[in-house]
Parts: sequence; C-alpha cells; structure tokens
Amino acid sequence: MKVKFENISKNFDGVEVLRNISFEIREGEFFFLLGPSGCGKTTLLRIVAGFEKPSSGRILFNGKDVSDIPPEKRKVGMVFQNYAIWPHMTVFENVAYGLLLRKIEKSEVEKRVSEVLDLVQLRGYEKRYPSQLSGGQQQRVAVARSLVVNPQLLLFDEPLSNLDAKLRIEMRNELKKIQKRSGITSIYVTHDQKEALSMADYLVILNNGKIEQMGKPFDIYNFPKNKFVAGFIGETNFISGIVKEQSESGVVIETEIGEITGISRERFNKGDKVIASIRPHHIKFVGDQYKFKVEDSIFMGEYEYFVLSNGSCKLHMMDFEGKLPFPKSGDIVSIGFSPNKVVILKDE
Amino acid sequence: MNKKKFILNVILFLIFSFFFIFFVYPLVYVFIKSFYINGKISFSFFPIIFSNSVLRTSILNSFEIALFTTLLTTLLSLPVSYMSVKFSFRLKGVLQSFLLVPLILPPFVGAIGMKKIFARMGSLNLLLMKLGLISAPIDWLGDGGFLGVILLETLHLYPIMYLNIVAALSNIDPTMDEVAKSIGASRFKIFKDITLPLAMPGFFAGAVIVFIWAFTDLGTPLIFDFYKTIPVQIFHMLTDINENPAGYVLVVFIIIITLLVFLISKNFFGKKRYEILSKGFVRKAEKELKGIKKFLFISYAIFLISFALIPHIGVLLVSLSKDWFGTILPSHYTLSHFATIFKNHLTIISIKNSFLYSSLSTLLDIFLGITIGYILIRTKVKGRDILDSFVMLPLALPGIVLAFGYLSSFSKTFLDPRINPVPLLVISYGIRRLPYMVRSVYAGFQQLSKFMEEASYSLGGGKVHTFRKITFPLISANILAGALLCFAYAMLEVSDSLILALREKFFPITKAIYILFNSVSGGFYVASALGMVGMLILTFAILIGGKILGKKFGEMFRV
Repeated sequence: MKVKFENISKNFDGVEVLRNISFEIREGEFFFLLGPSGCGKTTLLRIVAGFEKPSSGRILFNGKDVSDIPPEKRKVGMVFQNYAIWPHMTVFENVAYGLLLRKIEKSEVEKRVSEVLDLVQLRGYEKRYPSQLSGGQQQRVAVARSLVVNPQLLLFDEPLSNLDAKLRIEMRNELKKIQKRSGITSIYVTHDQKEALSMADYLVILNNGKIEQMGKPFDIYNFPKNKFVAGFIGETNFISGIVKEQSESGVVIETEIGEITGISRERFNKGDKVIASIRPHHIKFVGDQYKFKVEDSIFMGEYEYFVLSNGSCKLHMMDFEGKLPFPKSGDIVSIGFSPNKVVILKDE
Repeated sequence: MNKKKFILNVILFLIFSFFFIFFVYPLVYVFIKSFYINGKISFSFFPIIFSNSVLRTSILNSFEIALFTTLLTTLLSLPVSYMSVKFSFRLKGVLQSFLLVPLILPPFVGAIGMKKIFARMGSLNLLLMKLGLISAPIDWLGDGGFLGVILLETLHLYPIMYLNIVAALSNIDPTMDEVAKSIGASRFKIFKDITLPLAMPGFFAGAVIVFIWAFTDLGTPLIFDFYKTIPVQIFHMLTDINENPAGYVLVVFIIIITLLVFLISKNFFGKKRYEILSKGFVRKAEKELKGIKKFLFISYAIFLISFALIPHIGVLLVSLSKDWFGTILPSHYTLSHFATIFKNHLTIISIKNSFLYSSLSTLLDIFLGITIGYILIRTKVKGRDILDSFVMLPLALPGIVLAFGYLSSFSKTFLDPRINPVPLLVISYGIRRLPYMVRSVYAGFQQLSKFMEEASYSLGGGKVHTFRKITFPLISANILAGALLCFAYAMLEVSDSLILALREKFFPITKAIYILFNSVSGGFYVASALGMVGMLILTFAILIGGKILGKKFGEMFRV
C-alpha cells in the first residue's frame, strides 16, 4: 500500500511536536523515521495508526483519506516498543486474536497461525505463555500477531530498544527478512542510526518536528544535507571555511588548517561560508599536508581513538590500521583525507 | 470521535448526579436544617449543643477519645513500623501480616468480649484476685467505659497508623540517611533533621484517618454503654429527629471538625509532600536483626498482637460458653448458640439480609469503580479532575453523618428508610466503600500499559471487545480484591445499619447483634456467636483480597 503524508502538524497543549510534514511511502517499502528522542517520530507513527489525530493535515492510504477511520478499522498492524503481548494469553491465543475477531473458521485460523509462526520461527511455542519466552521471542510473537491478519501497513515503534546489544543486531536481520518475505509496506521508528542505516529502504530524518532530510541510507550517510544530519547519522568532525572554487572534481575551501578539497551536491559561489564534515575513520596518517599535535590517545581494541589539535581546530580520528610506533600525547603527526570522503555543507 | 465524547459526557453526568443525590444533597440538607430556621439563616441552634451539659461533656469526651487514640496508636505502632522498615529476620512476613489482623476485627463486636474480660467482675480481675495480687477488683475500663473505648479503638486502629508510618519510612531513600552519616551527622540528628521531616506527611495521612474514625465511631461506645459521646448522642436523637434540631447541629459539628482536620493536615503537611514518591526505585537497606534487639522487637510485636486479639478471644469464649458468670473462664462450653443462629428468626433474616445488601452494594461498587477508574486513567474528558477529588471523599465521611443525612433528607420520599431501607442501605454501604474499589481498579489500570489495548485496536478489536477480552481479564485481580474488601466491610458496617434499618425484617447482622446484645434472655451469647460468624466471613474475604493484592493492600487505608 502507498501512504501519503500531507502537511501533517500536531500540537500537544500548545506545544508544536510536528510541523508541516509531507512525504510519500511506496508500495512494499521498509520505511524508517529516524530522529533523536522528542523529535515527534512516535507521534507521527501513532497518527498513522489512528491513536492520535493530527491538528492539521491528512494521511492518505492508496489515495484515500483515513482521517475519520478509527484505529480498529484501518487495517494497520502495530508492533510496540514494549511488545504489548497479552500476558493472560498463550502465544497461539495472542496470534490468533485478530483472526478470531474476523470470525474466521477454526481450521483456517490454525493454518494461518502456523504459517506466520513459521515465518517468525516460533513453531512449537504455541502453548507457551509470554512469561516463558525470551525478549527476542516475545518480540517475534508481537510481529506475528500483527502479520497474521495481513495488514495493509505494518508499524514498528522502536521494537528493538528493549533487547540487549547482541540480540538487537540479530533481530535487525530477522525483521528485515520478515518484512521482505511478507512484502507488507512498513514504517519503522527508531533513534538508532545504525538500525536505520542497516535496515531501511528509505528513511526520513526528523528533528524538532521537522524533516531534515529524506533519502536512501547510502545517500544520507555520504551526502548529509546539513550539520544536524551529518552529526546525527554518525560521528563526524566539522571544520568551517570559505569557498575558493568549485569544479567537476570538487569544492576547494580555505580553512584555518589550510586548503581542503571535498565534494558536495550543492552549488556554491566563491566566498560562501561552508562547513567541511569529515568522519573520524576517514582521517588517515598519510601525506604531510596537515600537521597536528596528539592531545589524547585511547586504545579501543579494534581501533585507536585520537584527539588531535592544531590551534583552535580539534579533530577526532579513528585509526584502524594500527600505526606504529603508537603516537603518544604531545607527538606531532601528519594526517590526510581523501577528497571524496569530505562533504562540504552550507553553513546555516 | 464526537459520538464517543458524547457518551463519555453522559456517563460522567450520571455519575455526578448519583454523587449529588446520595452524597451532596443529604449533607446540604443537614446544613440547611441546622442553619435555616423559619425562613431565615440563623445560628440560634448552635449554642444548644454547648449549653446542654450532657452534650458539652459528650463533645469533650469524643475529642479526648480521638486524641488519645491517635496518640496511643502512634506510640504503639512506632516500634513495629521501625522494625518493619529497617530490619530483616525470618518470619518477618508472617509477623507483619498478623500485625494487621486487628484491622479486620470489628471493634463493635470486640467490645462484647472486652467487657467480659476487663469488667469489674471480669476474667482479669477474677484471675488477679485468685492469684492474690489484688484484693478488690480494679476498674480497668475506667469512668463508665471511657478507657475501654479508647483502648478498643486503639487496638483496632493501630494497624492503620502502622501501615502509614511504614509507607512513609520506606519511601525515604536510605541514601539520604547515608549522605547525612557520611558528612558526620549523629544518629539522633539524622532522625531529627532527615527522617522525621520526610516521614511527617505520611504519618499525618494516617493520623487523620485514625482521629476521625475514633471521633465518629458509634458501635464501640454504644456497646460499652458509654453514652456521652457525639455519635451516641446523635443516635439517641434519631427518634425525635423531626422535633429536635440538636441532632442536625451535632452532625454539622462533626462535618466541620472532619473538614478542619483534613484541611489542616493538607495545608500544613500536604504541601510538603516531597517528591520522593515519584522515584521509581528506592534501594532497600534492611539490616539483619540480631541478639537482644531481635528479642525485644519480636516480643513487643507478639505482645501487641496478642493484646489486640484479647477482645476477640473474649467474644469467642462468650459465644462458646454456657452461662459464663463469676469464673475466669467459662465453666461449661456449648455450641448451642451457634445452632441458635440458624434457628432464630431474627438471626436468619439478618444473615440473609446482610448477604443481600452487601452483594448488591458490591455490585454497585464494581460497576461504579470500573467506570470511574477507566475515566480517570484512560480518558481526558473534562471534569475528570473533579471526579478524581470527589470519589475519595467518602473515605473521610463518617458513616454516622451519611446515615443521619439519608434518614432525614429522604424521609417522606419513596426512598424513606422507615418504609423500606434496602435501597439506601445498599447505596450507603456502596458509597462509603467505593474509594477501595476505585483505588484497586485505578492501580490495575495504571499497571496495565495502554499499549495492551492499542494492540487490540490495531488488530481490529472494537472498544467493547477489547475491554472484554483484554482489559477486564488483566485487571480482574484488582477488581476481585476491591470487591472482597467492599463486601467484607459492608457485612460489618455499623452506623449505617443501626440508623437506617428500623424494622426487624430489614435488619442486617450488625443491627441484629445490637438488638440481641440488649435483649434480656441470653441474647448476649447469641450476639457473640453472630459476631463470630461475621468475623469469619470478614477474615476470609480480607485474606483472599490481601493475597491477590499483595503489597498494594496497605494502600487501601491511606487518604
């Protein structure tokens, strides 16, 4: 199903949590809403489900306005952050609930529950109660319960945030596979950028109730539109500068540590104020263009973490190569970075 | 959406109307009767209660009873509360539950046993004389029962104080004490500067209930023949309720005192309700109780429990004895009084009536409790906050006030209790215990994440279906616990029953006990046996309720 958001705004007691949100979700897409806590992403999801009403704007399912349709009639499945599995029902009863509501024949119910439990790999757990399941299993029951009724749209509200780190990574792949296999258009809310980058077909970054950027994970990570996105989607360094020239091969800017060349999808004029964004792991101990003093070095296991300084400019760097001899505080090192790993952003 | 809002508003309107008719109106009626005389507002009746020497003494007595009861309950419960919060030891749980037992034993029945044991020719004096420790009987009940009333109220009400002090103390994060200790404060200073101020609001919440309960209790002084208290005076004025305004004025007096006590405690101590309750996690700091301390604490707790049980053991003995007079223990035992209960016309009717009234009032509470709990937690309808403050008020309303208000304001209407008291009895039982039900359901809704319901909506479940399949089963334990409490207390409600049930065929158990107790031939024994039956029912109900509610049980007795 296609979902269209048209100028959605929402106020809670005079506080504006969503401002004029518009975008579209394509058929079968695994769509992500990513943003820091309090950005309005959960509210947006609850508006889609029908648990909240927008203060203005509307939502269209396949072109049809659903504003006046109550949650129970929207055919939208929802997986909650705390799973909301009913503790007084077995796995089977939980999953079958939605089917029984639709007065489906008993044999058909059993068949469909089995199928969906197969899909989430929980066959054989039918008679268990939620308290007898692990966190990951409960999560999959919640997914199965929503899937079994063939919703037109599936909503996930931070479904992995209650799991431990290792299980979370496992479940990312699980959920992605389940979504692809079922083919149901899905919206997934999270504040974890790694989750979003690794699972999403398409994502929207929200901040303070506004859309900051939309795009595919690769584009957003490599071509953030602004400082907020660059900083939110992964660790980065910012260096201010002024545009010297822009050509096919990139943008050359003048900064306090010297000339930097980077790339951008924007057009700049000479003299524009800009910011260069360089991710810590893109900085290497190569060349001799930029000289920095090591302020701090931290051994992190799989890499070394350095804090470098040159005058008022401070850079964070991750070295995965294991440079020897290991630079110590006070050492002077020379670093470099490949121009196509440097993103030039407008300084707003 | 608009339809939903409309229905909600209609329900809210009906609930408010119910409260207005059966809560506000009777009280307003009493006020009008005492201040609006011959078409004018007048305070001319008020001096009556102070000029009449009997009434003056009664007011004084009631104040003294309430004050001493509050003081004594505080003193008695402090050591056990401290023990409960600060120490751990084997069987602590058992001891803690036994400490609460007196709360469920009605003092009205206990008074019968108390009299038998502590009277001039009661078991205690006889025992002491036999042992040669005293030569003449001692007047333990003092001043025609004055001390007896205080003692019995204290033994009945100390668990309320205990629950509140324990709650207050255990809400104090032990790190607060530890911080003070770490910067060198002495143990006494810590208690004075940290523990005491933090525990005060909780303590006063309990003290207010104890004070008002003791101030307005009708049954206990009535059984002790201690007539010079406000509630007993009001009770005796009921017969000429239409000619004598003093009853109205006394009831107004009680209302004013109740309000004053609540206002004072709210304004002085309510404001300082420190935000310690909002904290999710308070670390326990229980020390293992050892040595002489352990011996002292535990023997004190056991002494307290046994002492509180004496009146009820007395009742048990009376109910089992065959002509008990002039001996320490009954000389002959018999079960015939229990047999009588099932033969005697009055007792059979009263048991039947009590079951009927209590069941009906419990149903009323279940219905109102779920509706109100749902509105308070799951909706944002206007008027919710008013409902919230309204619904807890009956907890503070003395039974005698409501009963008096009903009897006077509904006389000569189709609800006139002189003709058929059943509707008003059921409603008065219901309203007075409604706070327990609402609290219980409220707790259930609070624990129940709204996502549980939303998950059902998202699967296509409608409001009614979701409530039936998801919400109700998940809060059913709370509903059951609340219902048991409502039922149990309705079974042994004293003032409403004594005042509203005026014809024998409508008598509930408590009224039957009172009538039997005052009858000449052997009614005393049957009254005790009937009291035992009542207590058994109550004990069962509370035990089951406590089991279901667990720790939440204590919250039932706080304002």
